[in-house]
Amino acid sequence: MKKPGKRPKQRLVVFCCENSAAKAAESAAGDPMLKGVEFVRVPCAGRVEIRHILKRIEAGAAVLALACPLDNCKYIHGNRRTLKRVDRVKQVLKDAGIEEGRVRMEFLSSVDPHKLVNVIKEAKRP
Amino acid sequence: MITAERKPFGEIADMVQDAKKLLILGCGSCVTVCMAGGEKEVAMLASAMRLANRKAGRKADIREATIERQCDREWFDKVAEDIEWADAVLSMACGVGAQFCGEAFEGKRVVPALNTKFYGATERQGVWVERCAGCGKCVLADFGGVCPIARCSKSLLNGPCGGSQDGKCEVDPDRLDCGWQLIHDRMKLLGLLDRLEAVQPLKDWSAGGDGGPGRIVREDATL
Amino acid sequence: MRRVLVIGSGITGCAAALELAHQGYSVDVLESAAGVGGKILGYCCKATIECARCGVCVAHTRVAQAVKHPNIRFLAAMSLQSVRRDAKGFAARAVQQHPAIRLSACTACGACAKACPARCITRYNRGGLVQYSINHAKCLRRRRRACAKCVAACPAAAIAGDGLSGAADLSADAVLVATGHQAFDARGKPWLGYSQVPNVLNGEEAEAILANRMFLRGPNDDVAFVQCVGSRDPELGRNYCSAVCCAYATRMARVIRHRNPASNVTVYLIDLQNFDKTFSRLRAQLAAEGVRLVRSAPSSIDPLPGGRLSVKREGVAGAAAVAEHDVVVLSVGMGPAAGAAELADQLGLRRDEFGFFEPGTPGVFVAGTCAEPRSILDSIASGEAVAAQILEALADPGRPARESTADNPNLRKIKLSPGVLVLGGGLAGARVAGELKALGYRPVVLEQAARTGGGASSAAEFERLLADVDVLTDATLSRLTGCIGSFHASVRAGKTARDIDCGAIVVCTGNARQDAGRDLFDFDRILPAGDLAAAVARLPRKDRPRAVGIILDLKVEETNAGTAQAFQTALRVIEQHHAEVYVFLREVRVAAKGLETLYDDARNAGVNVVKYEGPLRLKTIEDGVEISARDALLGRDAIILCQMVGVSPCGLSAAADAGLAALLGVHTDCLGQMQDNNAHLFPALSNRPGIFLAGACRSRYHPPEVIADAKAAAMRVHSLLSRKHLIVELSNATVETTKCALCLTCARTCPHGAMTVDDEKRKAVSRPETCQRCGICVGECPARAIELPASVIE
Repeated sequence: MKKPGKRPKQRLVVFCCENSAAKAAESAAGDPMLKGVEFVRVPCAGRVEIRHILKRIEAGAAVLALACPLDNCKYIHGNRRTLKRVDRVKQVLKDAGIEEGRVRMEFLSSVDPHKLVNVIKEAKRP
Repeated sequence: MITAERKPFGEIADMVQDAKKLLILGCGSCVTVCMAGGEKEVAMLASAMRLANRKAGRKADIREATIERQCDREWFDKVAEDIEWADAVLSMACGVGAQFCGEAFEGKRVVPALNTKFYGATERQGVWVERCAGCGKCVLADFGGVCPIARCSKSLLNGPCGGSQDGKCEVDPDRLDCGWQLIHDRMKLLGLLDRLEAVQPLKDWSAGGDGGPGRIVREDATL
Repeated sequence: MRRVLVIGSGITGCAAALELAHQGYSVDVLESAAGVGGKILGYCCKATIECARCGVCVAHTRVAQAVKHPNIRFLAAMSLQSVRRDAKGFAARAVQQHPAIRLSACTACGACAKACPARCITRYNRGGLVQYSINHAKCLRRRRRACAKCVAACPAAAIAGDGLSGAADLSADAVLVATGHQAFDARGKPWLGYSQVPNVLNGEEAEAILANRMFLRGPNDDVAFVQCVGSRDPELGRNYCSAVCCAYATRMARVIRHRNPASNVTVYLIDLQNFDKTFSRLRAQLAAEGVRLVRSAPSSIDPLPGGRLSVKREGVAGAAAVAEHDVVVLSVGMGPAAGAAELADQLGLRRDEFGFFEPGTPGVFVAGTCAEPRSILDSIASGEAVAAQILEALADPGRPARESTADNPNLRKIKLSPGVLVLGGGLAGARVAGELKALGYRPVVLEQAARTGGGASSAAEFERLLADVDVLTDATLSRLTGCIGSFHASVRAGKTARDIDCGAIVVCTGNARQDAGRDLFDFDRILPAGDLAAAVARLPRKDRPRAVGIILDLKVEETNAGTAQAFQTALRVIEQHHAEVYVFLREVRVAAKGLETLYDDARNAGVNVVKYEGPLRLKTIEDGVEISARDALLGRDAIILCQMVGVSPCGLSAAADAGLAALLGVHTDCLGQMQDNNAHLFPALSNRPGIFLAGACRSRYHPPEVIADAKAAAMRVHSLLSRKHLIVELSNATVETTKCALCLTCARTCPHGAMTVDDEKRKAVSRPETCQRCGICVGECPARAIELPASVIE
C-alpha cells in the first residue's frame, strides 16, 4: 500500500546527446540527483523520434530531451529538429488532457555537468 | 499529390469514442509524403488516443497499421483481419481512401482522421501548395503553364479582378500571389503576352467536379 | 618518423599536435602544470539555450582526442631546461618538476586518488576529458617524505617511481611554442579594488565559478562587468586590444541574465569588438535580453556598508555617475605568459613591444595566444594553421597510418581523388592554392573575374602563390555532383566547358559585400573605402579634396578589416595629400595585432574620429558630400562636408551568392554569409563533408585572419586527402524499399547532403562516406523507412 497523500515517484527518462549531455552525465556520475534516472544515449538529439518519447510517456515516465545548445549541434540542426518534435509531443499531450510538462527539452553542453544536475532536479520536481 | 491535414484531436476522439476496438489505418502514398497520414502519424495519433482514453478512464484496444494505398482494394488484404476485428476504422488516408475502405468492408464504420485539402506540390520541406483544381479540361497551355482556376482565388479566366494589388491577392495579401500576376509574368517571360488578348469562352465545368461523380473508363485496360 | 616538440598543452598545442600526429608525426607535448589542457579547464560554457560560440566544449573535445592519440606523448609537470640545435634539428632536455601521472598509460581508474594519504590527487572530468593529476603543493614528497602509495596503487604503472628526479632528453625536427598567455593582474589598477574589495572578481575567476555553478554568487545579484582592464592601456604599457574580453564578458552577462531574467547585468565598455560571425544579430540579442551596455570606463570601485559596491564613472560630457552593484567582474586582458622572456632567449625568438612572440626563427614555430591575444576558436585555427606550416617547412607532408579493411566486412575502402578545386582566386583562394601546392597537391583555381587578385592588391605575391597552379579565369561552377573524396564539378571557363574531378573543394569566393554598395556608390565622390586613396591620388592636384570622410559600420557591424583599411587609408591621405580626414564609426574595432597602435598613429597624425549612433546620412550637394550623424560622445548632431567619401564594404550587408551556396549544398548563416555559425565547424568546415571554406566568404576579412584561415583550410584538405583512401564503416542509415515513399524528406533534412534517391533501386539511399550517423533522417522520415543500425533506441 502506498502511503496516502504521497504521490508515487514518477520515472524520469532522459534522452542524452552523446556529444553533450551524455558527456556531462559521465562527469556528473555519482551525483545523488541522477539516481533512478534512466539515460538513453543517442548520437544526436535529432535521432529522437516522437514515438520514442510518447512510448515512454505511455509507460508512465516523464521525458527530458537534452540537446546541445542551438547552433552548437555537431550535426548542424539536429537539436532544432528535435525542439520542433518536442513541441508536437506537447500538443499530443495537450490533446490527451495530460500536462505538457511530462516532456521537457533542455539545452546544455558537454562541459556543464552542474547544469545537467540542475535540469534533472527541475524535471524531477512534480 | 492529394494533400491533407489531420483533423483536430478532439474531433477525431468524438467520432470514435464509443469504439472499443479501434484500428488506425495509415496510407503510404500522398498523405505520407505530405506528412498527414503515414506510419509516424498513425503512431502519434494512436499514442494520443491511448493516453486520452487512460486519462478519461475509457478502455479501448487500439491497433495501428499502414498500407501502401487505400485507393486500391487489394492493399487492404494485408490488414483485412484487423479491419474485421475493429469496431471502427480510423482512416488516415485522404477522402478517397477513407471512403474506399468503407466500400471494401461494407458494414464497417470507417471514419476519416484527415481533412483532404487539394492537389498540391511540395514548395519546400513542410510546405505544400495548391496547383490544380481538377477541372477536367486542362487549360494550362493557354496561360503559360499557370492555372487560372487553381491559382486565382476567383478562378477567373479572362484577367484579374480589382483585388490584385502589388502582385498580391486581396483574399490574403500576405500569403497569396495574384494568380493573374503570375500568369502575366510567365507569359511575358515566354514572349506570349499577346495571346492573353484572346477571350476565353465560357468554361464547361461539367468535365470536372460539377458534372456529377467522375468516372474514367479505359476500355483497353479493362478485363 | 618526424618529431615535433610542442611547448604548452593548451588548446593551441593540442590542436596542432593532433594535426601533426594524424599525419604520422611523433609529437611530444611539454606541459609545466600537473594536468594538460591549459586555461580551458577553468572556463565555463556560455550558452543560454543558444550557443555563444565560446569554444570551451569544442576545445575539451580536442584535448581529449589529443590525450588518446597514440602519436602524442604528454610530458606533464616538466619544464624545458635546455634546447639546442643539432644536425638533426633540436635536442632538448626537460626536467620533471614534481611527480606526475603519465596520461598515455593512465586508465582513469582512480586507484591513486584513493590511495593518496594527502588527498592531493584530483580528478578532472568535464567535456569528455578525464584526467588525474597530482597537486604538488599538497604532495607529501614535496616535504621530502617517503611516500609512494600512489605509485604502488596504480595498476597501469602510470606514475613514475621516484618522480622528482625524472628528466627526458627529447629530439625534434621542429619546435612549436604554444605557451599561451597570462591574464592581467588587476592589482595593477588598485582603484578598481581587486583583491582588496570583496566581490570584485577577475574574468578568470568568474569563468571558474560559472564552470561549476549557475550564478556568480546569488541569483538576484546585480552584476557588472568592467571592460579593458589591462587592455588598450598605454599607461600600463599594454596598448593593444585583448580581443577576447568583450566576448567573454557579454557572453557571461547573457548567461546570468538568462538564468535570472529579473537580475540586473551591466557591461561598462569603451568599444564592443566584433567577435562573432553574426555579430549584428548578437547585438540585437544582447539588447533583447536586457544586458545593459554602458559606454564608460569606471574610475573607482569602493565597498559600501552592507556589502554592495559603488562603481564611479565619467558620464557623457564629463558628468560623474555612480551605480551600485553586488558583484563586479573585471574583464582582465591577456599578456605574455610568465617565463616568455626566458623561453625567447632559449629558442632565439623575438618578442614584440608587448612581449608576445614574433613568428619564429627557422625550425621554431609560434601559435596561439603566446603570439597575440586570441579566442579559443581562433587558437584552434592557429594550431591547425601552424601544423600546415610545420609540414611545409620540413618538406614532409607526412603519411597517415593506413587502416586495414581486410578482416572487417563492415568496412569499405573508398579511393579519394587527389584533386582539389579552389573556388575564388582572391587572397584566400591564392593562399589556399599556394599552401596546397606546398603540400604536394595540384589544385585547380576557378576565378569568376578576368584576373585573379580579388580585393587584395599585391600582384607579385599572387604570382608566386599561383605559379604552376592551374588557374581558370572567367570561370564559374555550373554543376556539382558526387561527394567527399569524389566530387565531379562541371565548370564553364570563358567559352569552354570542363569537367573536374576532385576529392575536396575549398570555397574562397570572398566578400560578397564588395558589390553591395552599388546603390550607394557613385564612384565619383562616394566610393568603396579601399579605392579611396588611389582615387584621390589620381586627381589633379587642384581638384584634390580638402576633406575626406571614411564611413564604417554603415549597415552591419564592422570587422577588424574595416578598421585596418580605414586608418591605413586615412594615414595615406593625410601624409600624401594633407587633406582633413574624418572617420565615422560606431565602435573602434581593434581586436587584432597592431590595430590599436595603427588607430593611435592615425589619431596622432590628425585623423578625426566621430563615433556615431543612430542613422548616418549621406547627401550629395554641389561642393561635396554632406555626412550627418549623431555624435555619440558629445551627444549632438554632427554635419561634416567632405569632397570625397569612402564607405567600408565590410560595413555593408550583403548575402553570399545564394545560388552558389545552393549549388554546393553549403548552408549560409542568418546574415547570409557562407557556413553555419557553429563552433564545431570553425574554422574551415562546412555542413557538407569534403567542402571547406576560407576567408571573407565565411566572414573573415582582415588579411592576417584570411591567411590563417587559408592555412587551416589547406590543413583540413591535406588531413583528408593524404589518407588516399577513406575507410568507412557500413553503419550508415539504411532505407527499407517497401516503406520508402520517395518523399525526399530525408534528402532535404540531412544536413550533410548524404541522402539521395537511387533511381534504379526506387528508394532513398545514404552515402556511407558522407553519412555522419546522426539519425536526423530517421527522426524525420514520415514513413519510418529509415534505420540507423548503429543506434537502436526502442
